[in-house]
Amino acid sequence: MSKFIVFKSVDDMPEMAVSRGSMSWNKTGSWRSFTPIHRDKIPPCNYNCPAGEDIRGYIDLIKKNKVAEAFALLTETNPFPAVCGRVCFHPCQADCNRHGFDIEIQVRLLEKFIGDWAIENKKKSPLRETTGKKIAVVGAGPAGLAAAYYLHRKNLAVTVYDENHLPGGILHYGIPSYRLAKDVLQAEIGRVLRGIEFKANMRFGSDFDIGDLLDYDAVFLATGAHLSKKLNITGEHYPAVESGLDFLKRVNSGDSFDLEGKQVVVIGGGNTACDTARTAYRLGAAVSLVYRRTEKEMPAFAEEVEQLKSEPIEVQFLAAPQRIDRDDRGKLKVTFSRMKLGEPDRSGRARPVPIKDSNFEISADTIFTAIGEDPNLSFFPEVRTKDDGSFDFSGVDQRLGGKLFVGGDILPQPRTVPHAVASGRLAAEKIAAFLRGETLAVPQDIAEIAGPEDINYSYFTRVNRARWKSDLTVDGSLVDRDMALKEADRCFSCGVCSRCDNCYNFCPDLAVIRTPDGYQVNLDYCKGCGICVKECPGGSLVMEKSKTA
Amino acid sequence: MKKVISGNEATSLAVKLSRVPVISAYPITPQTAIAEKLSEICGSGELAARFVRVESEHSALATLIGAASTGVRTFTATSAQGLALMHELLFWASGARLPVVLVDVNRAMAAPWTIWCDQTDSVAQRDTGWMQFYCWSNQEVLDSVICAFKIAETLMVPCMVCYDGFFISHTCEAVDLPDQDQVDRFLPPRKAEYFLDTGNPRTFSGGTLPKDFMEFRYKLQKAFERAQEIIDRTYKEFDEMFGRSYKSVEPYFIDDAKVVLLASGAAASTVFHTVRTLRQAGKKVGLLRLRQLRPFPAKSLLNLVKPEQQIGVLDRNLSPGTGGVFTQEIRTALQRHGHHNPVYEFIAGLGGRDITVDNIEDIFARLESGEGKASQINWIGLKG
Amino acid sequence: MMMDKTVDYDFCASHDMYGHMACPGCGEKILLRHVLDVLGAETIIVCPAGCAAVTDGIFPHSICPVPFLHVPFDATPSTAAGVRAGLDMSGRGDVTVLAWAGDGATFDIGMGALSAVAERNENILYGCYDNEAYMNTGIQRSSATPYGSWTTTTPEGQLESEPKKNIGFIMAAHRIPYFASCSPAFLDDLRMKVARAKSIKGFRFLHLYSPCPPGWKADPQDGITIARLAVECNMFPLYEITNGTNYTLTHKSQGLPVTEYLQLQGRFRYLSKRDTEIIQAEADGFYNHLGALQESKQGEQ
Repeated sequence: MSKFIVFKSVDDMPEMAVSRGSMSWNKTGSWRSFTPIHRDKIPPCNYNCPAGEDIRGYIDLIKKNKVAEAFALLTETNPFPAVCGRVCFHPCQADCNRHGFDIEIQVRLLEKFIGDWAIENKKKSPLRETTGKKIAVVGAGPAGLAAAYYLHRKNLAVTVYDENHLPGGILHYGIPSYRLAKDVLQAEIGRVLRGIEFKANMRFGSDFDIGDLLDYDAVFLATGAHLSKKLNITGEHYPAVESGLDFLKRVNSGDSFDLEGKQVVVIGGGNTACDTARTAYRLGAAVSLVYRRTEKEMPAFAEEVEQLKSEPIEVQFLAAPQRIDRDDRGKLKVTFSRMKLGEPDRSGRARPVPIKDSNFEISADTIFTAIGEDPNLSFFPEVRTKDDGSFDFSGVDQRLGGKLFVGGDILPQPRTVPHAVASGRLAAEKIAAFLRGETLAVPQDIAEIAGPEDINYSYFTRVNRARWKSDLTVDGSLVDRDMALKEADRCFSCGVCSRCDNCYNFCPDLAVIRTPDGYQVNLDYCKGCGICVKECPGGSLVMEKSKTA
Repeated sequence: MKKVISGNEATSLAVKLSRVPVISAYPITPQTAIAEKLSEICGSGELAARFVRVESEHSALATLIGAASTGVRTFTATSAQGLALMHELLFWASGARLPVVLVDVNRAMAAPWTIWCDQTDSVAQRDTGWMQFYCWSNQEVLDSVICAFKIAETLMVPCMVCYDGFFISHTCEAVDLPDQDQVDRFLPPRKAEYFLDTGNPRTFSGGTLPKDFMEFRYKLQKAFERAQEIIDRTYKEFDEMFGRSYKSVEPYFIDDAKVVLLASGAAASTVFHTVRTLRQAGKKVGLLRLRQLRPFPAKSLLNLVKPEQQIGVLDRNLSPGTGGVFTQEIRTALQRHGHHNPVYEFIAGLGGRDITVDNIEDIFARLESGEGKASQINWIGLKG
Repeated sequence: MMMDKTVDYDFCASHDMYGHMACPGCGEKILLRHVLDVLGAETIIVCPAGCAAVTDGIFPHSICPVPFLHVPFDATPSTAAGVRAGLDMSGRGDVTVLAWAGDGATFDIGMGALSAVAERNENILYGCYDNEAYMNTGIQRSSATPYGSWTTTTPEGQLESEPKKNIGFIMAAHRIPYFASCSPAFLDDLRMKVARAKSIKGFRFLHLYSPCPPGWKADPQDGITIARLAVECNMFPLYEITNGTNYTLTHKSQGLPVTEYLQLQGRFRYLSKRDTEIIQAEADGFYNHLGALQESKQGEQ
């Protein structure tokens, strides 16, 4: 940096006006009212992911053909990429900043790609040396398995109990195999459970009880919600009226069924109802699904509803069952009333209201009900139900000596796989803290999300929306690794610096410096013009209203 | 070696002998032969130089400013309108202390159109910071151009050599041409103190604030104050090398002159001839030939003028509203140093009108009779 | 759109080119640093009065990392030719002479000298940074000011009524070896053209689009966006002309509506709907014309 030169005498000056120094003494940073700052934002995919995956991070690794590293990064928050790559409802994609530009990044397909790669390449979880502390996990569904996996990564010995023969919970016994193949599921679970003790066929209350859990240093309860809600109408007790979830469990346990030519009515509008209807169809039945609200209010994932509609299943909206009758041959007859939508109920959705004198009938050989599930906590008499419907486990906790942790579908949280996984991983963190004698700090909600206004779309090229998805996939999977790289390449890496050099190249004042990690604004010279912020493709620069950083 | 050549050819040969590597000129009567001759010798390789064939005089001087800034010797020639077109760049060259040498073949300024001689074109540029020399013979033209390079480069001040259009430029005289190696010894290659150099990058002539600008003008003025000494020394060296001596003010028949006429250019040779004739008739008259307008050779002049002498000045130029420019300069110089000689002003020969022996005799007659007043302009040869 | 990552040092940054007085968001300074980065240290700049000269620095300070000769407003082409002659005659013929002048000095007051120097095919690289008005003296119109633009000498009610002078075609008529239009929003293209120009001997002219936020009444942060839209809306197509006859479009424009470009600049706020239609037609027409010239590989004489 040069000095400001002042001539004291005419003799100090040259004969003609020839420069003697640079202008770098002139700190034009003093001109600024706004200051640009390199500051990462959260991309909407990361923000929306219930499991807290660093989606942007692993897509970036796929871009660079580093699939093993992508797998490692992904499994830091979710050990089930092959599962989620098939059944997750991908909220990550809903707010993808590419959505309005051409077509959102097919994150789920990329996750599936990673998951399938890990299975094909027989990736093993590392065996850890355990410290001597032991944790019990009750329930081998996604929450319990995730908890076990992350506890084991913390070098803790874990034993998982489950009432079923195979681990997986709802993943195995709820979700049909045409959505999640059993061999894929069990291969992934096998990797997850490496180094973890799994005790099958252990039903709490009959095969083991609280006394068996007292020796553990902590207990994680994640038994899920498998108790189907009742219709509370006449005729519900007939044997041919069954819970859809129970039906799915029997099919998924390998029981054979012949519904060829049978008429099946499924009541409900959630994922279980759809799974039930589509499974019955595949077993040869003629299926009708009846829901009391409209398609818009169906709690099932949109993709599920689309698939349902694409199959020859009759779907009726705005009808609710009033009574079930049976004739001497065992044929059932369901009386439905037409409904109309009224004021919103507690869930925020319009309450269905029966229309007077609108009854009609449907005959059926079998009726499956799928109107929601509750956790079965009958083996814990100490559990209180609170006014809001959630549970108070303090009594149980006391009995266990203050080391009970609860997660998964027992809790009042959305009933999805990523939510369950998140719940399990959080439990592992809480347990680890508990064992250290600490409480886990509640993370601050970081507000800055990279939205479409942060992206400079002129740096990206649109793909043909109509052709893209069909070019990308074969049988629901990415065609090949090249396609994965191509799709990952479309990711904007929203909110993070992609080292494109735009800020560096476009600064009129040379006030953006390259550093080993990225860039830094030279506050001595930055005039605050804001070009760097505007031309950052991914929105990792912000303008602060201040003269300093 | 002696050769009979025109004034313009003398200029061209002087430039060749001075080994000027970058030349740029735009043709204008009566300078044209210079541009043509220099084009020829540059093209043939007789002179190792680039002749830049510009589209205007303004561009000619701009080209030289660029070339001189790289440290090389440069030359141009022009007249009247061409010199006037260069006006802003004349200031630039002197402010940037570039030792450009320019030959101005004196021609009257339009309007109305004219191609014939007077000195108004060069004297009107006396404020631009250039040295100015005036010649009365083709030999002097050649010698003055060579000296101009040396003087300009020593002082870092640009220099113009002026001589009368047609009277000097186109008439032929015997000129003694020096040898190249003699000139090389007298005038070595230019060594610039400041020049464009990628090995030492600097910025030239940048914006200068009021707090610094005046010092550059002061330094230029100081260069002009040092100039006479350099000029005298140069003429001494020239005399030693080539056997021809020059002074800034040349006295003829001055010693006991009662009346002295100051003149410059070709007209001064008519005065010389007339004075010599009048002396033979017993008149005590004399001639002081002025060879410089800038720096004004006040010291030399004051050494030659005696307090009781009557002074006349022959101006072949006009600054409308005041009169002849040499007159003004001489009056100022005399008054500044306490001389009280009355100075009589004679304007003649504008637009190329011939200044004859009769005209000069008329001037001396008027001076002798006391007819004129020092406070008025005396127009010589006016109709009616 | 990613820059060539093999360029891992910036010539200007490593030569202390900081602290200049240009306005925030100045297009000329973005252009200068990239042009110098490509040309390197063996360059001499000849620069007339204008934004570049004034913001270079005040005596005795200068930002310029190479020798820089200030020259009078009208004298750029001639002085550059003189620098070239001086260098050639003193054994420095490899040094690049870069004339660096604005649209005022190039299209207007220096046009006569420019024509002469182009006609003589002087070995000079002439870079005209075009901010489309006399910006340094306070936003007065030049012959580079586009149709419909407000300036202080084309105020509301008397908006610029003439289309922008076509400097590329004027240079082509002189049959110079190389002409190219460049935009700071397309740095790969710009740097390629500077490098190409450097490799050619003779008179080379680069027409560099230079966004000026204060003069165009635009937000300083929009400078590059405006420069990009200028190209994509056909207001400033990117093309080359070699030897006055071969035309090559170096960027296929997206043909966006000119309103996207106009609405970011207050100097166009007085345009009527009819004006906008005229501008759109002219822009698209010129771009298509360049395409046709490229096809025919024949130039207009």
